[in-house]
Amino acid sequence: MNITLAEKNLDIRLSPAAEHALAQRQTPLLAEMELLFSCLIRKRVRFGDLTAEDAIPASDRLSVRFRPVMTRVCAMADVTGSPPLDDFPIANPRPYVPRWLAIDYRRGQWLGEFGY
Amino acid sequence: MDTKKLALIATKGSLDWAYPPFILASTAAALGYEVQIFFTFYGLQLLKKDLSHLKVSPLGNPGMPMKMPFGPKWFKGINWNIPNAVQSLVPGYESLATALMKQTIRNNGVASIPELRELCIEAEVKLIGCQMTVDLFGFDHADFIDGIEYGGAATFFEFAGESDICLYI
Repeated sequence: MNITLAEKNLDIRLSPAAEHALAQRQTPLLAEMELLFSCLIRKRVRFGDLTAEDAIPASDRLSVRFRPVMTRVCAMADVTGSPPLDDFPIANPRPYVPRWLAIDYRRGQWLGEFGY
Repeated sequence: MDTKKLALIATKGSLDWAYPPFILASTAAALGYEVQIFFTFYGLQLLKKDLSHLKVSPLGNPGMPMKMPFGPKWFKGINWNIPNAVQSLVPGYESLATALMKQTIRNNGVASIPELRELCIEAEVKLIGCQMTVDLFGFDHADFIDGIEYGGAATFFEFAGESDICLYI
């Protein structure tokens, strides 16, 4: 499926397991594509139930959001848990919005990856 | 308010040293800076169409930890302190180190060099290849991605002289 984020086309690829798990859900799933600006630029997809105001519905069971963030603590450990992230004030977000998002569901967990 | 300007000079052509110019450029562009990168000498490798040739070398690089990107946590934590003499003798050691580095990068969700370069291009970062170095190394413009400008130091100084930040990498 495809949606438009910041005037850019985003190709969403769901694995068969993800499609099956989505179909079982009672509430929409939020997939947040997080782009962390730090010493390195790190990509991560976070999943949740809450729908953010700027999330774009891809279907009745899946919403997608792009969130550029920054942290003053440059730690790889931020990959897990809840790092102290602040929104990153991107002047023009369009170039940074991914072109594709892949979602999988394995061993009861949502897995995501995005790219350009 | 005047747009801030960042000028970067990229001189290195290895996988690890490809990161600083593209990270700084894409971050600055995200903050609204006008950015130019001048690629000279080995830095020209970062403008090649195919970036798969970029390698990292632990040889003569004591600051580079050699850790495995797979296995249990205790195994990943081991720093394989292999003497330079051994590294230089083992065929394919550099390729192995590069593969391990790429896996570590993937494991940590860090954006790849092709992705960062793509971001920079889309964010209108101006990429300038040093024409003298292109000639010196016998490269051809067809070796490089489209959309880059070729020039010399004088071309770059027109922008760098007015920049707020100028960094040599």
